[in-house]
Formats: sequence, structure tokens, C-alpha cells
Amino acid sequence: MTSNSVGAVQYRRLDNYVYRLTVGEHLLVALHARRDQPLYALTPTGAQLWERLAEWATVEELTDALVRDYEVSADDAKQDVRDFIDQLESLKAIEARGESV
Amino acid sequence: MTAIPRISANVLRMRMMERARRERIPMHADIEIIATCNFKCVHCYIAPCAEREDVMSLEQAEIIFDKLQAAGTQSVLLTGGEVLTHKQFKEIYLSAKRHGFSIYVNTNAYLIGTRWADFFAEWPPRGMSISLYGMNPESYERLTGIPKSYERVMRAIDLLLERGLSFDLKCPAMTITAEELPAMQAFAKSKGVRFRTDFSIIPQEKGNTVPLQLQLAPQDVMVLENKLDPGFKSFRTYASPRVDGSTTDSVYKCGAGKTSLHINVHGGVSTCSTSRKVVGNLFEQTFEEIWAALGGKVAMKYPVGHPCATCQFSRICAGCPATVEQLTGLPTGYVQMYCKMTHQRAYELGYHATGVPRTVMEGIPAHVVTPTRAAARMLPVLG
Repeated sequence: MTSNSVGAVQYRRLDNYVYRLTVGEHLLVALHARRDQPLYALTPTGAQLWERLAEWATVEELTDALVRDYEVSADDAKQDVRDFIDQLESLKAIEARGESV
Repeated sequence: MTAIPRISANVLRMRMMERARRERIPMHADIEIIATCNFKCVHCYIAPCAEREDVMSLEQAEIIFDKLQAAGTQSVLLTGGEVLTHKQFKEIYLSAKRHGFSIYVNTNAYLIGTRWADFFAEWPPRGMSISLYGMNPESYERLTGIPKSYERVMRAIDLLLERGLSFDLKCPAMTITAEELPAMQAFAKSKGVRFRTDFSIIPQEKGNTVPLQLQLAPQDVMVLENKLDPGFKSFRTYASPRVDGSTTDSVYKCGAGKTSLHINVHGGVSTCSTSRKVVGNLFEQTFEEIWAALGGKVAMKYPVGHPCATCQFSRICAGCPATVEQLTGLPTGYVQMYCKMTHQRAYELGYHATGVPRTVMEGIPAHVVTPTRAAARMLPVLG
């Protein structure tokens, strides 16, 4: 694992979404979106990653968290984290800093 | 693992609503943040009784938001009075946003100029409902009692549309609005927004029955419904799955008290905005206590022999337990005016041979409560 690798991109959630667990759904509620899609449902693992993204975190650190808590291989977990980060970036729900190594 | 499954917000809401119905989760809450209003509408049942102090503070609103959030509420309607006259409206609205609620707003739009329109464009509500009271300055001002109300509301509508905000227009069907309702409906259509109307007028919160003078009689309601919905086409679609020959002795057939609730400006909780009978107070009691009391109320059954208990048209009834409660004092009361409207509807849709309720022939059972004397005096004479 490369938890603190120099130059790795770090991500952190923005405050334009609010997370809520309600009626059994992990919801990401957009504060600025129009009617069309102001609500997103996260999987439980997505919700866990979102909570983790309250602080700056690298893909590796997020992957570590998944591997620690779920029975999943590091490769699968890393792919899932990358997919999740891509989704959040497309929603403009996170910001990034640092450079890819 | 797909961390954000591709699912539309509507499908997601339906999934949540199904679970909320099964488990009786308060998915939605109406919150009255102010009871006073800048209009003086003749039919209003809230503002004429309101005092200056009938305002919910930001701190009180946040107590309610916290309790609703913990209870699983997903959406809130901020209503009044006129919400935009509340000095802390922005703070309350943004706090509701940050609590993660989908927000709906009721407004008469009189105060919506560029600044409010820009605010809503930046922080869009999930939905907005604007009261419309006429299609020319004279009729508008006759109803609202406020000069320039027509011009200002028309401008507000354009400002919101220019910013891509969506909203509904609504107007109560009354003796003084009936003639203009088709024009209002056409106006809404020309603007690409939905139009809604409601045929039930209720007494003022503190019992004054004057607004009931504006109630349309059943025969006039039928004529108007046919104008707004030619051949009852839309209503036919709505009624089809609801009139299946079955009957129920359950009084509450809607989501009131099951998946939704209403909170008045003092924290009092009732089934919905029409019912003003509170079962508890959120500033003094836990949410669980109040939700349990509301559950008891909406579980009530009609007494044996009550005409509504054996009516197969109860799911398309023109009245509801809340309007009946306002006219008779009890949700289990009986209002023949609603019964006549409903049977007329059933007749027009081909479900009933004559359109005449059984109680017209056989009378109303003596143990069934009917409108109070004050209400009955104001309601239209039934033919």
C-alpha cells in the first residue's frame, strides 16, 4: 500500500452535497441542482467512502479502508474506488489536489 | 460494487415511498414557519386569525429539522402565511437544505423580484407552488385586497421562468374564482407549468365560518370540473383503479399521519395542513410520542352504520377526513355536500346509475355527526 506516497492525488468532498441515511437509503442530496436529478443513492460502501472523504484522502488510502472492512481483494477495491472517484468528479462533488505519479 | 448506482431520482423516491408506507416513516412534513401574510384573502383559513408573534424562529425551525431528520423525513414544505415575509426565511431555507431535505415552498410570489429569483436560482427548491388569484388586476385585487398584486405576481412568474425554475400554479375553486379558473388553467399551460385547483373551502382556524360562503355548490363543481377537464378525461384515469367495488371502514385513506405530517407555527402537529387539530407539540414532546399519537388518530374506523364505511366511491371523495373535521368537528363526521359531489362524479364517470347518494333517500343515521350549525348556515343550499 502507498498510503502517504509523495505526489499522489488527494481528494476531498465539497460542501455542495449533503449525505443522509434515510428510509434505508444512503442519499447524496445536491444543494444546487435543479429538479432533474437532485438526489443520488449510494451503496453502503459508497457511503463509507463519502464519509472518509471529509478529509483529504488518496485512492490508496480509500482502498485500504475498503480492504480493511470488506472481504474484497486490493485490486477489486482499488478499481471500485477509482470508479467512485470518477463518478463524484462528474457530479462535481469532490475536489482534488496534488499530481498523479 | 457500483458506489452510485444509475437510478433515476423518481425511481429512488418511489422505492423510498414504498418502504415508508410499509414501515410508517414520516417521509414528508409541511412546516408552517409564519402564520401572517401580506395578502388579505377572503377565503384564507390561517392568516385572518394570525397574530404578529405567530412566527417560527430559526432556532425553533432547527429543533424541528433535527427531529425530522432523525425520524427519516426526506422532504419538507415551507409554508405560511406568506413565507417570504419571514425575516429569517433565507436562514431557515438554507438550514433545511443543509439538513439534506428536498424543499418545497408555498408562496403568493408577491415579494419575488430579481433578488429572490436569483436566490432560488442559486439554491433551487425541489418544487414551488404559487397561488394565483385571477387573470386581471381587478379580480386579483378584489380577492387579495392588495394593490398591484396582479402585476407583481405576473412579473415574479416570468422572473422564475427566466431562471429555469419550475413551479405549480394553484387557485381554490370558489364562487368568486370559478369564472376565471379556465383562463388561469390556459395561462399556466401557456407558461408550461402545472395548474391545480381544489373545491373544498374550510372555516378559519379559530372557527369563523365566513369563508364557507364562497363554497361552490355540487352542481356548480360538476360544471366547472367538466370545463377544466373536458369529459372528466383525466379524472377518469385517476378514478379507474380507485373505484373497484371495494369498501373500507378506514377513515384515513391518504398518507396523512402515515408518511406525512403538518407542523404549525407553534410546533403543534396535525395530520395535514387542512386539519388544525394538533395531537402534540414538537417543542415540548419527543417526535416518537407525537408520531404515535398521530398513528392512533389515523388508524380510526368509521362507526357502524356510517354512510362512508360502505361507500365504494370513498377513494374519489370530494371531501377528506380533514375537511370533514373542519366542518363537523370530527374526522368521522359526514358532509352531505361532499357526498353529493362524489356521487355526481361517479355518475359522470358511469359508476353510478343516478348520482344520488343513499342518504338523500334514507336520511343520515342519527349517531353520525354532521356540519356544525354555524358551518351549515354558510354552506351552499343543496339541491
